[in-house]
Amino acid sequence: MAEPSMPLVAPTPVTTPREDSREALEPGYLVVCWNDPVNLMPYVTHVFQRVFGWDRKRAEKHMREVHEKGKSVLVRESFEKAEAHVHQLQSYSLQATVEKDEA
Amino acid sequence: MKLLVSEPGRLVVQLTRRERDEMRAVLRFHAQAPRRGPSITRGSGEGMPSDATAMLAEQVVMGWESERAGTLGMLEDAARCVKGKGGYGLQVTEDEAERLLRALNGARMAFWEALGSPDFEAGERVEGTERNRALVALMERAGSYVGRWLACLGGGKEAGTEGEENDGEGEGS
Repeated sequence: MAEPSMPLVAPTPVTTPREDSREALEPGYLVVCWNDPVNLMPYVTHVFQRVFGWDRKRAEKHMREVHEKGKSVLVRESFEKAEAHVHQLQSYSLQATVEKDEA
Repeated sequence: MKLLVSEPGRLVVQLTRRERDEMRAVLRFHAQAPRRGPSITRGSGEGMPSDATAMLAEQVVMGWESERAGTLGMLEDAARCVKGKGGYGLQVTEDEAERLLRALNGARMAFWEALGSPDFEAGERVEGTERNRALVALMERAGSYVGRWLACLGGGKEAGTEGEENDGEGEGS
């Protein structure tokens, strides 16, 4: 017989919503923009400037990386911020995704 | 297409009649070529919070359609697109200018998707049917106006003149 003070079932770890949201707020997500054969290069540069507030030189560097290497990691953020950036980029019809940073 | 006034919160762009009519045509045809919803992940999406995000994709598509309709309405609103000697003066806020840009580019993407999303950069070509020729023409026309509008906003090549065709330079990101 188990002692009265001992639980019969091991307690299941409880993950609180607060802990969930804390994990989602950690800056471990990458915003990636992928190459496509349609969007014009000056347009992509313009979008990066608008969405991230970058100067033209920085925006062009990432645009060239997308064009030449097939993709560019734009920023590393919390999931919420990364998702918001992807949403903005997609509203401009760029092919953008969120990836978990495994590094 | 020419930027006449640029001051905080207000831009006025001069359009020829042909430019206005062609942009309207592009946006109208766009309604017949609905877009596919985007995904925020590629592959399995492993490691993503589980509530991500078919809803967001739906919101993006709804946003595209809303902007297309709103932009078309702006071009057809006599109070916003004022007829003058030799053309029109389109008055927009900075946000509306961005919306117009997104709508024109969205139309270009829609026509490309309707063609089957061919990889032109890799040399892929589409079958020369009447429908495809019309879609390619619309796609090029939309691209031409994306370039002109960007030039007006100060982000691209010099704005084209009436009747100028997009030569495809700078295409692909």
